[in-house]
Amino acid sequence: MKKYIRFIIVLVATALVMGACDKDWLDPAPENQLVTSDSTFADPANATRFVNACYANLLTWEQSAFSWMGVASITSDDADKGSDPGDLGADKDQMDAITYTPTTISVTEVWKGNFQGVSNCNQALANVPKFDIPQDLKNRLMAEAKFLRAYYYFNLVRTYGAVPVLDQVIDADNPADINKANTRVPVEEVYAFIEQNLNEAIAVLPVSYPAPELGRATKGAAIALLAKVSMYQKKWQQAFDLTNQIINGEVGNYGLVPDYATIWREVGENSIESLFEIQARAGIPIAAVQQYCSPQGIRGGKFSFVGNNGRDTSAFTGWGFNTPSLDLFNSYEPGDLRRKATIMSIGDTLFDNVIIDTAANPRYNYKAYVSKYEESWTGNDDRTNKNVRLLRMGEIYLINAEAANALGNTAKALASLNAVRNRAGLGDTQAAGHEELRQAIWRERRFELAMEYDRFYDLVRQGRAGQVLRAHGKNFVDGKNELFPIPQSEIYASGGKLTQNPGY
Amino acid sequence: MKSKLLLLLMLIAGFTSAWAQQKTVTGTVTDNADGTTLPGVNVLIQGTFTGTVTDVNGFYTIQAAPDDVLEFSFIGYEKQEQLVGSQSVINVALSPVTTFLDEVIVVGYGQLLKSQVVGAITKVDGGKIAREPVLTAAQALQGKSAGVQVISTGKPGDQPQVRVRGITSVTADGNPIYVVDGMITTDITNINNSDIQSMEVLKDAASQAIYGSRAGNGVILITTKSGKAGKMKVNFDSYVGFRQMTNKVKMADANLYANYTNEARAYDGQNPLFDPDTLKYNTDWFDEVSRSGLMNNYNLSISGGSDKITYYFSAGYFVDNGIIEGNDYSRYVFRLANDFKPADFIKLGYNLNINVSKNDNKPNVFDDAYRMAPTAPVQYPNGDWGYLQALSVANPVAQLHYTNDIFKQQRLLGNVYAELKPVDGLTLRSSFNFDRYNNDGTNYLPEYFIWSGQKNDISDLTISTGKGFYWIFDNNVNYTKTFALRHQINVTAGYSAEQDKYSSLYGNVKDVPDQSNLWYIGQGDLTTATSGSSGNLYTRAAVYGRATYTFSSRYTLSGSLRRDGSSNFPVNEKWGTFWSAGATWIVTQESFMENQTFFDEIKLRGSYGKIGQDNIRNLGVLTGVTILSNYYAFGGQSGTPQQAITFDQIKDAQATWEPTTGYDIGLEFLILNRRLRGDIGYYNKLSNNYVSITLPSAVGDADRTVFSQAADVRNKGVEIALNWNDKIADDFTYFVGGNITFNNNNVESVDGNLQLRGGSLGNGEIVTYTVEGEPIGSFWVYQTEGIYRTQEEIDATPHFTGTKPGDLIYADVNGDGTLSELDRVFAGSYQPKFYYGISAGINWKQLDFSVDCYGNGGNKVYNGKKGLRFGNDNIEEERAANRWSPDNPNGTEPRASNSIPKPSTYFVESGSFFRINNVTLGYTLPLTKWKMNSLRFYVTAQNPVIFTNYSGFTPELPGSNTSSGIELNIYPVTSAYLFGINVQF
Repeated sequence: MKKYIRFIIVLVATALVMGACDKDWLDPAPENQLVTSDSTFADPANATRFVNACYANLLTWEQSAFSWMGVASITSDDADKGSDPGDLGADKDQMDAITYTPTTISVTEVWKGNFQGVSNCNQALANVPKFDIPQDLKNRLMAEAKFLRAYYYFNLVRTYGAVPVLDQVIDADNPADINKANTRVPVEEVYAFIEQNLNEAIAVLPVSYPAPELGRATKGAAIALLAKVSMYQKKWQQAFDLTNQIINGEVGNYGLVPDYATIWREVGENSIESLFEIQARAGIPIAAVQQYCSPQGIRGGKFSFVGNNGRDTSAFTGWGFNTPSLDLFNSYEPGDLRRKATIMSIGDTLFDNVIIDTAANPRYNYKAYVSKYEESWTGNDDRTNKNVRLLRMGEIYLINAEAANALGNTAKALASLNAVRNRAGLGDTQAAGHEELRQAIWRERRFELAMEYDRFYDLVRQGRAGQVLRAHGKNFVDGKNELFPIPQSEIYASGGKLTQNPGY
Repeated sequence: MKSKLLLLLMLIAGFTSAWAQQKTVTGTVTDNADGTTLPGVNVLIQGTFTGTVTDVNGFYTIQAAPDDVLEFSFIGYEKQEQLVGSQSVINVALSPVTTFLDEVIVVGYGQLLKSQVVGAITKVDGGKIAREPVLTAAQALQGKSAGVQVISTGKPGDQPQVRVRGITSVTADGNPIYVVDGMITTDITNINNSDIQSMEVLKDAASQAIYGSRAGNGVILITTKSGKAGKMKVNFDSYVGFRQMTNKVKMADANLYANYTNEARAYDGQNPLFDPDTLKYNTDWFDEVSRSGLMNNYNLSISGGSDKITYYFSAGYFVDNGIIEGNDYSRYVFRLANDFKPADFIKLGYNLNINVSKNDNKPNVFDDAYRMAPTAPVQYPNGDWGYLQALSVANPVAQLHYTNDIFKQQRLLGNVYAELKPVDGLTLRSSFNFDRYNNDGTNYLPEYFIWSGQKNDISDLTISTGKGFYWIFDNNVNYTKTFALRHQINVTAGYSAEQDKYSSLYGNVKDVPDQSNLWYIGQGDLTTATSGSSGNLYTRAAVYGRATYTFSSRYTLSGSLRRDGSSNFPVNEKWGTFWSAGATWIVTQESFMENQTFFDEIKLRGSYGKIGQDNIRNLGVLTGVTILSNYYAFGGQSGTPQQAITFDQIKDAQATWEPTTGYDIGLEFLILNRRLRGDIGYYNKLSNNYVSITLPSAVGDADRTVFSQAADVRNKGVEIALNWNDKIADDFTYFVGGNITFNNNNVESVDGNLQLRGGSLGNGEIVTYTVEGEPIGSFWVYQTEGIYRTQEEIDATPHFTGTKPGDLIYADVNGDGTLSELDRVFAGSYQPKFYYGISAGINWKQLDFSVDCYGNGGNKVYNGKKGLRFGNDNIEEERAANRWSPDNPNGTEPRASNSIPKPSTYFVESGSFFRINNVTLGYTLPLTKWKMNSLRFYVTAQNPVIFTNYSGFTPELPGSNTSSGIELNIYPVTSAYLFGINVQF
């Protein structure tokens, strides 16, 4: 028996040791996960990274890709669903026909993408102050986050009308916060919140950045967005003053680039035309919009090269959605250079000498074309180098023109409008009189900003969406389709507290 | 008092007999069935405490008087008595018990007699598992145990879903744990069925509680074979055959398809896509993607040993080529087990299972084959792949051709242990159990271009590796003792610590040559290279115990307890206590039962207990910082993209165990001259579940999900298992048996306003909803009432925009004059109301014949692929041929249409089925030469016939708990036809 005693002692001792270390044993540091108890706030570089997340949300599928295209572009008279008739792209037929419902995916994802952006901004605003970094940098980073928060809210208010306004991180365990997240506030208050964010951003943001930081929100970007927001609220004087500041070079070096066709190409990135654009870079690490171009790429098709006698070549292709409508194609004035720069048709020779011999659809969005030969192309069609231009000088001039016209400053309105027309190879406008000029400016917006996801909202803003879109064969119902439905899944998630827009 | 007197008398009797004339009696005890010697048999002089135990060769020596009666008893064998008389050599052959109450049942951390088992346990002999020509024992279990539902696919290398007594969790995985010789795992694809000695399914809280927090979905114990002292045994088994698609869905041919599609397009004002008179091709895509897959299996085992050492070695090679072209699976398994006995009181040993498997994965192209246009060829005469631009469907044959997705696994599972028996009845056991595995994946996609919808511009290679090490260090002590002959106790107590660690690494590069010997990262364009790694670590600790007390072989009380800690939960919620208590009563041991002959044995059991589950993944218990997958490209094309971080996961700080409490009562019996045995049970258990709550996007949780312990789910049911065995003549025996389980799953409560919708069809529609008063994952769809025949009918009823004559009529159930989600109805659940297994067999002379069947009833299936429909897809022949059209006003099926249909009862079909799982006919040669013990040839048909009204590929549709029973892209269960041979030396 004695000889076993040692064994038993060892066993018991082991048991005790095991028991003693239980506390740590069950509390291992989580693998591959940074937690707040780690050095997150000790590294000053992380402050900038929190703000980078406000930008990075611009690259997500929900935010800027297929669903956004459905909501902001295919709904308009400028674009058709495209692709093959049988390929609905989940719901793009509904977006095209304006028969979408609260369960339509595009409508759901746009809400989700923009609110995720708002959340990232709120996280940045809550966390940046925790870092030990210079106050100037802190202020600038927070101003960037405010600019982006305003951008996301501008999308939300244009799309859904009244939405919950969240000015700080939501504590999911706090009923008051949850209630706030589920309560829609009137459109005017949303706009007031946007303006407040932009004004705070304008006060801090620099006019420009050193080269490695190119692409961050500038003072000009914030002023441009505020001008556009002002236009949507018909705050004409404000829109006029803000756009004048930009045009007059008071907030940076901006102007119209001479060749309209280069605006959406790689050579036109971050040019003087651009006030704010989504920075995208193909390759590694992932830093491009997920599938901005491929859904709009040429579907099917055979290509040849100038000078290679019709031999097949390859070109950037895709799913063929969001094709420019025949109506858009036919509406350009003769001689308007923007048509060839916006729409590529079968038979066209593209800027990189690729000839489209055949394709599934007659027309495609040239602004979403990526050249395999003349631009940075890595072989990944889903993450291309295409920067998405969100705010640019062409529009600033037209906002200026519209505001000037509204304020009775016809001379200024004509000057700004003609600046845009002349760049497009057109002569001065023949429009005369307040109303005719307004119509001319609106028409000019269509061609200047065609396929830039502006037209539907523009028509609604102008109060003629029903008239124009019904003429185009769409089921636009006045008093209903000015706003998109609140996603049903969000209403469910709110426990029914979020209310639906009228008519849905 | 009476019993004490009896005891005294017995003592006196024992005392006196010691004085009688003694002599030495010797002998050998063997197994009556196979003639092997039996070590460890108790040899006792009746009425005394004098006795001995047979040695490793089954040999014993005892001093006894001529009028003594020797009692030979051994667990698992019928007791035998022999009067000593004039004999000095008494050789005894013990028969294995044909009764079950003395049957040895493996329970958690030990063994008990069936009469002592207070819980519900089904034991399945290894022989029955090995007979099935399937990859995993889980699959072989189908139909063999009441309370166990097995839902399988035909995909090679797949382990089926198993549900023990219903579905107890909403969000967590519903599969039971498998305990292979003490090692806990969820994946038993590495275990060769031929190596299995027995499987015990622990079905209720009483039997599961000792596994505490892991037991929530049930526990299946697998005991593998080990060597026995005695002569070397060699067993060789092999079968060869092929597998085939059981059920093919009949699709429209090119002509019907072309007409249907043109008609559908006409409704939408689109031009015809085809000229039906000039169709060049008529492709049956199912035929093109499928094949007869080769299947074969070879097993060799060698076992034996001496009193100091026993050994078991086996080698198995299994090939299962799926019915999809190129979808090949192969597996090698080696098992090594040795027990060493340096002294009587010490035993050391190990058990190793070595597995090497390779799986050539192919995409499940059944969905694409279903949807692809029959008007397109596989390849045009010039060799180009066929396609139809009007259709967003990839050419499935090309897809198979270009897929190179190879997964390899090497895995070592086993244990080393030491056992010490310092005093009689006391066993100390320490074991280290481990599961170490390496996974290697190679995925190569060459550059190809079919058309812009199916292409790959640049070749792409991903190499991935994952490795895991899961170990359990377990120490326990068992004390088994009988006091005063009738008080028997069996106590087990122990503790365990475990760690489960996994890490993985991958590398991806583009532009790699299309040659498998060059599939290395360095062969690609390194400027495109990406890599990543991930890992996780779980630790657990537990103390556990079980005490069983049996009085007079008649009454047993048993209780078990486990205190469990898990690193899955936050600091204050880590520990949980799980327990059970139960009793059995062997009615036939009572004196009042002595004079009846109808009942041979009756056992009543009852128990109550609480178990838990910690397998709740994705519970966020920490405030983790998310590094976004998107960097942001500041600085233009020449800049350096910058990393982005944020907090985008809301945490559930109160996260802890999912408890299940419940009771089980049962009647187990053997009647009619030991010919009919049965087990009837009733169970009722309540689980408190985590459910995912969808958050509003505004809250800022990227996946919009948090978990909350907010749903109660009850499963209750009745199980009946009956087995009839009879012998008509010495060379003619037969058996018939069956089991059936009726389970009722009901969501008792769901806190707050949860939206447990699920069952996404991938086209924006969902079809299930989990609510109070319905089973988990019930189908929730619009009610159809035939089809509209005229525009007037449409105008007179609420309808969706765009409805035309020939469309389905959806009922305005709530009568509010419009169609909305409020009009959806509950249309049944994927969970069967009952499921059953039937088996029968005959042994006549050298022939043996057996049939196994499995079925279920009362469940519904959502024919998702039929209801998915993107534009211009192919359509089922029956639907296209019988469609309504102005020319066919009496058509029974909806009109031709290219729109996505609403989820409706039209697509909900009965999922009931009855399948013959296995038919085997064997012939055993009466062999005396070549030293063979037996040689058997057999032919087997696996799943040859299925009876079902379901119109899809298969009604067996695994899925998550809230999204099962939906056919979208299933790899259907297949049929196999095999020829086999079995040799024993």
